[in-house]
Amino acid sequence: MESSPADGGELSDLPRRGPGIAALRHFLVEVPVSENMMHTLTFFPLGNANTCRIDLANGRKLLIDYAATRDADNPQRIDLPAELRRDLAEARRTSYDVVAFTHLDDDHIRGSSDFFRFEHAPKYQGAGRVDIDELWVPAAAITEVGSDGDARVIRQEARHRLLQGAGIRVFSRPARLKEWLNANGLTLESRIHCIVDAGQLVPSFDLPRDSVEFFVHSPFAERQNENDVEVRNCDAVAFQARFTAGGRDTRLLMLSDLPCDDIAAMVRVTRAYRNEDRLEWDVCGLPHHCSYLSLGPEKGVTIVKPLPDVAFLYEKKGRRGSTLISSSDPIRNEETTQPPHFQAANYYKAAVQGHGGEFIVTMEHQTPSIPVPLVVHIDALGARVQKRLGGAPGVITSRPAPRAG
Amino acid sequence: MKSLLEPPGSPAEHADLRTTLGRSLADVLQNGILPFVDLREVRRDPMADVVVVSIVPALPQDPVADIRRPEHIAIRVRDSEDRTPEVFALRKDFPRNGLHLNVSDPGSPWASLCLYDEGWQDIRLHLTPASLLAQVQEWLSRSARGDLHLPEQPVEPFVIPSAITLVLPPSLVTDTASAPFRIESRGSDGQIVLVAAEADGRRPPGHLAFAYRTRPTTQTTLRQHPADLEGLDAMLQPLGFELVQTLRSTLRDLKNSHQDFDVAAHEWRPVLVFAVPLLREDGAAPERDQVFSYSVDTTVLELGRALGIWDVISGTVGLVLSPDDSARGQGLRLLPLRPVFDLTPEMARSLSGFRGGDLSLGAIGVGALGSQVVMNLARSGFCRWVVVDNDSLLPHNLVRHALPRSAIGFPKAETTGLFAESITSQGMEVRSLVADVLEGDPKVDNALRQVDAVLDMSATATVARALAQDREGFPRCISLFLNPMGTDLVALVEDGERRIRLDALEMQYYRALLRDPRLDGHLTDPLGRLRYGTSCRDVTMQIPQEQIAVAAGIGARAVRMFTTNPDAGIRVWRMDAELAVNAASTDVFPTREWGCGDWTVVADEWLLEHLAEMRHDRLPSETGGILVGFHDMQRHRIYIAEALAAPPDSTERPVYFDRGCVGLRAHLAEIQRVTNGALSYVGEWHSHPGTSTRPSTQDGQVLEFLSTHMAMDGHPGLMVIVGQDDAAVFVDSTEPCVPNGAC
Repeated sequence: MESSPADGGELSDLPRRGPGIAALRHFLVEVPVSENMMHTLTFFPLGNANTCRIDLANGRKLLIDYAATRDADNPQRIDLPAELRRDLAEARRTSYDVVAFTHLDDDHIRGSSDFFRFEHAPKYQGAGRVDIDELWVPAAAITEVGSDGDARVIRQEARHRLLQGAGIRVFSRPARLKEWLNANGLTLESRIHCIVDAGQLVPSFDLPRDSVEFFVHSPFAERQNENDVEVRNCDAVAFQARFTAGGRDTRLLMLSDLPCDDIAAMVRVTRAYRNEDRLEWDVCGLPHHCSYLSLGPEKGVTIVKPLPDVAFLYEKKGRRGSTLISSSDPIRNEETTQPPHFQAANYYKAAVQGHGGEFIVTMEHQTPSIPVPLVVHIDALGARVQKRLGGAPGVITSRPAPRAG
Repeated sequence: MKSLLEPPGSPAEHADLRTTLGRSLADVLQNGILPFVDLREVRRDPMADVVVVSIVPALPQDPVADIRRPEHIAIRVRDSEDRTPEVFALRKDFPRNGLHLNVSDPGSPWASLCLYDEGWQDIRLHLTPASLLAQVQEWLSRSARGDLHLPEQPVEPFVIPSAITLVLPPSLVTDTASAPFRIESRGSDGQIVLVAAEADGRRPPGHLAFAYRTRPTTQTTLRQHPADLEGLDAMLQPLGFELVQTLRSTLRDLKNSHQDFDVAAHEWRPVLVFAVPLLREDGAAPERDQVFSYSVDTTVLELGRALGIWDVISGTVGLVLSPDDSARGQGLRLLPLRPVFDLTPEMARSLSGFRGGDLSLGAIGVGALGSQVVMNLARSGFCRWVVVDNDSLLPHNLVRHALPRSAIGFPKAETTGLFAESITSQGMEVRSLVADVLEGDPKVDNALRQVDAVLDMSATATVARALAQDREGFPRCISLFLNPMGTDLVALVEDGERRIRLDALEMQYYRALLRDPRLDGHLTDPLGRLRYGTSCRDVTMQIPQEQIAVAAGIGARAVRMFTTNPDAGIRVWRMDAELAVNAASTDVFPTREWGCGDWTVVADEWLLEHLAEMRHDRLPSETGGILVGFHDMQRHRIYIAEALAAPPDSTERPVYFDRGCVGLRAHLAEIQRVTNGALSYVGEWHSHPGTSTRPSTQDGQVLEFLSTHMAMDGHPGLMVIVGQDDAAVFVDSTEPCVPNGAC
């Protein structure tokens, strides 16, 4: 009775039955809705730490931060280097077009010196390391003193590339950057092509070619010159990426670890320059692992009361059906010193529900017991969080099994 | 929740569940390991377990259908677990249009998701509670994205589950008013198939179908099956279709026009068919028909009586003068049928995934290979044919022929044509001509001139040469033939403009046999016969059908492939002992011809380039060698396929060349062996270091020597002189031959 899936292929007059099993197996492969165009964002479950990979429809790859935080105490975190290497191998690549370190705190850079190839020292050039075609760092990453570990390696690499004048974008130009360049026998003008200021588009990408553009929000001038000492969180790189696919544009806002005062200032500056559309977001990587300090000065009992400019960003600039992503540990409904703070989560949930969206925590996705990378597809219908019900073999084989006794 | 419909059944406890699937669904949901799905409640109705869940689909920001996060879903598993579980959406305003839904039973308020294309027996092999839930989630996610249908399939949202399939003539779509047509019941109890009867249908027709078209609508009309005639009437009212009046009038006409009506009316069971043209929007042209049909659970006689138009008085049906308008078929139950249309060439093309145009083809030779290539192509929707063959089917043909035994003794052209025609219910145009194409019958030639491409699948290269040289105004020709072992299929394909024809392609194919190691042993004859190349293309007697089937499959595909572009081609497919098939393509070069009195010399650009290279290698000396090719004595054509380099005992000097002979005979013998005698010696070539290709006095003596000796075989003497810029060709004369319009 049941006939083949081809039954009635184009028989416009035939009642059709559901997709065949063969067709349903195709569910394992996401099919872009139109124009064969789909960008993908991947947020990795790494505890209170950030890594996001952006795969553009044209094949270019960007990595925003790198934090290999999996260890014996935290086996539920993803094995980031293994995951990234698998993806590169599938794409037959050995490099990223861009690796951005939004700032040099451990939860955004951990293990970088073991994973990437760095040009400044042979020690970091062994076989199997991953190349960085273009490095993005805030100016503070060049000028800070007293760094150690991964932060020092990245600083040295950034300095090396800036001296070479190639393969790097430095975000903002505080006086200290000019001083550093002068001290190294260079002028700011001679390296101006490597510098991108807040309020500008990053020239490495443009809409017609890449279907994406990156608008830099932070670090911005309002706080640049008052700075005697770099404060990493405040000087972090924040940006809005605008993707186009099938005639729709979809906006990703990445806020790194910015505290509330800086977000408020960012909102004010952007509005003052009449760039309000650059604050809009369909997907937002919310700041600082859901810390209340990125919303307002007070934690509150059940919910944080955000600064008015911050509230404006989340409540007025989130677009319909948007997604707020907390790169953090699961939200526990109890008082904690370290983020994530449930009071902040309560605010974010309420804000995003206001425009029919979702609040998602990386370490809770899809289930807290086995978190998997959070994949967001961007196509003509906007952003869509991939949700795989089932597929146990894929989940199980994507990570080591628990030790057998 | 007010926005939700009450699920089937009434609340129950986990322990009340009776089915394996129902219980395991509840179990897996209770232990909470599945993301995106929550158990809401379990219920029982008199015949089934009901598990109610909420499921979170993956929604895009701009969904194309109003799917929500989450959706409440009831899964109903019958106690018998003998059919696919029903999956109902519980939201009151769950969208109905454009989604892939089953047509609900009468009275069912829930949208029934159509999840599977397979039968329950297939589904249950791999069904797990989690896979069922995943399927529901995917259904929701994909519906929200609008890509539940495979690309390019029209959206036909409603699915009619019915055990009985009704096969309708495709013309129903175009006919505005169909006369009642008879339907015979085929199939078995397990799978009843009703088929619109052929005029001479042998089975007694048990059903009579009444087909109607309604006026167009933008709405999907059928969401629930009506249970009875009254329900159907109500459903059709919004379309302005007066069911009762229309049926009364149809039945009256039938009674008045049919001779044995009184007897037949006792037997016929009425089937109602409705085609509803669907519009995408008001004012647009109808895009497609939604077709649905019902069997009325009574006889035509009783139907008329229930509609109040006649009475039966002592066995005679008598029309009543004024029908009782209150008799509207109350209580006549309907059985939904699953209507499908009989096959058309368009459907065949679509189902074959063939998006090419609709080409007309000529088929010359419908033997083992030809008949099967024709059938393969006809099945994939090639529907306009001219079939030419003068042979009749004999018993030994059945081993490797598309035709059945009942065709023994009949001309292969006619029977293959009929067989191809019978694949679709309509739309095939086959012209069968019992003739030998070589005889040049104008009727045959004119028919072949009308097609888009001619497939030469005859058993002889003579046909290919005739098509190439004797038939002007023909479309491009494609030769398909097997090697003597039946392991290799050869396709020689003329370009769309016929600049490179089959005869020239044949020579380049022979050259490929000499030069391409992938073609080793291609023309080896299993019986060791010398067959003069492929002049006789019949295969040996001991080749199994499966080998022909492989070749015919590739051949059909090759025709589809080659006709999509205008390039000429030579390709050989070889099946090895492991049954792997490898394709060897050969580059094709433009033909060059020279006219020499009543002779024509034919070569190609590769050969001229080859001569130039051999000349260049020996500069400043002259060099030369022999030419290998083929004489077509009928058409006075000399084909040069290959030129050999100077034998080692030759003398090469700036002012002269003495062609030696060491190893030459062995070489020639090898060429004859590899080409199975098709190629042999045709003449000599030598080079001049300068630009001049004028023959010297010595050259004149060479030519005279050649003419004298070749005359013993009835062949002319041929000599080619290669200069710096070009080559000159001489046949029995020191006057150079005249190039024919070049390439």
